[in-house]
Amino acid sequence: MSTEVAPDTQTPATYKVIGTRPVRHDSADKVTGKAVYTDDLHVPNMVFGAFVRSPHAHARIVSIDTSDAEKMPGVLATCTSADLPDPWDKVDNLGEGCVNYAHLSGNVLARNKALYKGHAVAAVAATDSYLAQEAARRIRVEYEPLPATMCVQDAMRNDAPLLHDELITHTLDDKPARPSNIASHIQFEKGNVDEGFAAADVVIEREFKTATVHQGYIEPHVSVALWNEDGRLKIWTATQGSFVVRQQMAELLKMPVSQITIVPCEIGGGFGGKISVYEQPVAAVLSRKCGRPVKIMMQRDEVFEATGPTPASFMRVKLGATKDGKLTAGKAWLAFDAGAFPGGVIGPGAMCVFSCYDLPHATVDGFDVVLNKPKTQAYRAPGSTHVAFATECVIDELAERLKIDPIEFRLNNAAKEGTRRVDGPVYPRVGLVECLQAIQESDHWKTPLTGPNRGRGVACGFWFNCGLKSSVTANVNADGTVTLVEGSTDIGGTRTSIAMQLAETLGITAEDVIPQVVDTDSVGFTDVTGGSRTTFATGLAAHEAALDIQKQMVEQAAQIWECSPDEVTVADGVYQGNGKSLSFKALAVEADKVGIPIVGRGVVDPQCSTNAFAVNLVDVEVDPETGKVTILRFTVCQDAGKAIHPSYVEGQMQGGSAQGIGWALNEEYFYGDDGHMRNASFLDYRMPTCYDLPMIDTIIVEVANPDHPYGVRGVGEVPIVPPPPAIANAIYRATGVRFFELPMSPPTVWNAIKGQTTGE
Amino acid sequence: MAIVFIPSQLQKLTGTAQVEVEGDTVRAVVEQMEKQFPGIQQRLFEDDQLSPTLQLSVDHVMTRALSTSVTPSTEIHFLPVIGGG
Amino acid sequence: MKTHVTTTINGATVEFLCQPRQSLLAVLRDELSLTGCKEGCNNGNCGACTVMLDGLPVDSCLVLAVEAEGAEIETVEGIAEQGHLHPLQQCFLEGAALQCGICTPGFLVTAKALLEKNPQPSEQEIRFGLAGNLCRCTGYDKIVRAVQAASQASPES
Ligand code: FES
Ligand code: FES
Repeated sequence: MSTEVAPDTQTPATYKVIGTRPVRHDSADKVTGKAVYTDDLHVPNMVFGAFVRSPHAHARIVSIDTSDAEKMPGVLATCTSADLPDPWDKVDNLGEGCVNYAHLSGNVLARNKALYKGHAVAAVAATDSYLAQEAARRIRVEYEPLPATMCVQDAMRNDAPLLHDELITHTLDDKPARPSNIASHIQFEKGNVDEGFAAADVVIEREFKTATVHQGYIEPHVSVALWNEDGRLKIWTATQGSFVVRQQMAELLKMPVSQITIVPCEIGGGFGGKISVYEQPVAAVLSRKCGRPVKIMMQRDEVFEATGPTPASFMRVKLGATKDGKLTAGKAWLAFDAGAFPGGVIGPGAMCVFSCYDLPHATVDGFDVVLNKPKTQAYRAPGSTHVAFATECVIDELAERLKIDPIEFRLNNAAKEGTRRVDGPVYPRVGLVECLQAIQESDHWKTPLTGPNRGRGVACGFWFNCGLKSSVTANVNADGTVTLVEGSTDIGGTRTSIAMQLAETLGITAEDVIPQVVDTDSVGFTDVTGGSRTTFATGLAAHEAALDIQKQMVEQAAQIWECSPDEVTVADGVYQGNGKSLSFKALAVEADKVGIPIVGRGVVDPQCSTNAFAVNLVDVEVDPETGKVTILRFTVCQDAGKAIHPSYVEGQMQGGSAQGIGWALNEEYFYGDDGHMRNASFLDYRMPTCYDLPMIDTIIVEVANPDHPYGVRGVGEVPIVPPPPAIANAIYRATGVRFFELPMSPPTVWNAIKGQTTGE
Repeated sequence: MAIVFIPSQLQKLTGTAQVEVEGDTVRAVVEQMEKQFPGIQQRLFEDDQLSPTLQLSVDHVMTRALSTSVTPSTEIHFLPVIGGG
Repeated sequence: MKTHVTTTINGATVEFLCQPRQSLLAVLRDELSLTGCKEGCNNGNCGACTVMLDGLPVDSCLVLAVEAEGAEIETVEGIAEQGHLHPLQQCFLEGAALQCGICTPGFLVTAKALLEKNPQPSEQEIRFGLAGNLCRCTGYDKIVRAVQAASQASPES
């Protein structure tokens, strides 16, 4: 088996459902092609929309002429930013980061200026999708091209072309007088960094660069909007969070949330990229204008060029340590590209850069920089992968310089309960030490790697994970099953991991729970499926709903058995009282005959990080002829708190690792001098195929999260974090060359090896 | 009363990295800080609410609620908001 | 102008009218409501649209619908028989070989074709055989294992 659960970290409690591997509730639909994704919908009388997009990376929009397109038979409506209400500069907190609606509106349809190649400028609806695309080509847009800025360091210069004439750097410090492309400057300071470096025996400082990468979900963005004559708007869409889409729509279209229904369909991947709206408001406006439901599905090149990838970055990281292997100080300077609008992922990046270590002295400066690329978005542990690449490579170099084993060096300095992070807060119980120890105990670590051009690397990663709002209701059916109604869209099996927590609490089987993901009119507010929060927070809501049901069942049992509720006891799903005893199921059948319906309710808003750590161990072989890196063996160890459904926890670990491997070795946006992305297809934006990867071995560590009844931590995001540095460290051992840039693609690796042998 | 960790970019207003401030809630603490260090509140607030770009860490709890109550041992941190994937 | 096409889909004769520019994927999904095959890229790079065409797995987004004249097509909807899941489908759901599931129909069609040609493939043969199908969620580990399990479960072995 690929999975081990590190024995000494197992939660002592014995569970009947939690920790088992039931077949997930929606899998028959998904293996037969019956599951309904948004593009599978054919709403009666539906028409199709298409976008007109900017061919320039930066240009003033002089005029838009839709008249020719509108004359085409079968063309029903056109739309530009003039059809969206005037946005206001309102900054809202969507639970998952904040959004400025003026910027969001300007990203959905460009106002005055196109800020990146592919920026949506207009749209059209027609009776078939080919016609819509033809009509889009007939919309004439006159542009006045402007100089573009494409890289973070250039965009930060005083003489860089400005994207937004009024953008003043957001900072807690004194605001600068002049506008610039620097959207924000974050700073953290702990202790006295100069003293810290003075106390170090070895200090290493390096510069790192990473390229823009995309989440790469296989399902493109797609929506169907129906704006009814009564003013109600209904949208079927592929989203990580239906309520967050509702909120964005309400703000962008200036209508009350109660007038909008969002129906989340099955979703084909998101990874942070399906939270912001793109085509939804445009489909809605087109629908309002033509009176028919409008479907818009993006093409793959549109997904690459016009939805949110995650930033490219430039980073400088300096660390100092004593001879005996104690870190004394750290300094980080981080600049992330936000894309065309402010609000990238620099905040969490800056908070994560030293989050794996106990650093007595440190400073961190983080800059969010706008430039002429698509507005960036979260991608699985947003910001953390970038900074882990920098820090973990410097850590590895320090360990080597100090001649200390890389795992021992990390153990020496690992963050644990009581460690104060550089950004201030102190960790509660966390599992990094346990993960490192589990790697040391693994068969992989104990098996020496031999052979030429081969090397082994280690790296750690951290992600906060969040809580946020979730609501569920649970209806007890006459046959003793429970229908669980929830608002969390299920991207990777959360219907089941949530249902299992309800089942465990009630003492029934996972199969006796029927989970349903419903629209925004049918359940209470629920935040996005993101932030590794769903199994944790919606699971917590399900646990509460189960306790609520249990209370009502006790009352009904008391009524049936003619005793007081205090005399009824519940253990393992068996209700006892007045000398009688019934299982949950049998009692539900009885209760249905006599009592009022039993409906449980769970609403939660846990406000804590659940703090996930992961460690990778990776063996690579580098082909000196081509620079190609082959992953020979890969182990990911992660603290899950408690793995509710171990198969899907492993799945998250393996999937996140594969994305991290792609980021490390191949994936990047190639830009031409004209600011055009040169590789906007799955052929040229090279994500790992199954032929590129080995099996991904998993070790689940379970250090219970004190803030959850079953100890759950989030698991979704952190596995993407350690692969790039772990692979870089392995390549170093294989080749003797350290890499400071992602991706470490064959040409980069080949050039570096060649440079080394020719002494360049 | 609570221990407020002053963001480094505001330390020129306070002169120190940490201050102990009177108050039973985060809002009361910030208002009290404003009396001691004029100008600090406007850097942290927008329209009398916590700036949307910030969140609070109050004894491990990540929140934006200014009504969160505090005790003398409570640590208050002002952090950037974060999103997840 | 529409063209009349006659094909066999999942064992039944099907006739449809299509525009010459419509892909087989577009017709299967939009005209025939066989929405099991998915569109991930529409240019032959993801495999989500894989169907069997005269015994070979193809990216249906790269096949024109008019080319299906006289052909035998099998889609994911035809894999389960009379209410019974195929061993591959069973292994996929038992082995948790899907997360979001958008790639699953394409993988099932490709894997079935692979096992029909090579009932006992090695891990490398499975990986090579499935390399035209992208999955962004699973890291492929559990997909490869599900295909291995199905090859052991299949009657041919
Ligand atoms: S949709 Fe046909 S290969 Fe991607
Ligand atoms: S399960 Fe989501 S792409 Fe494969």
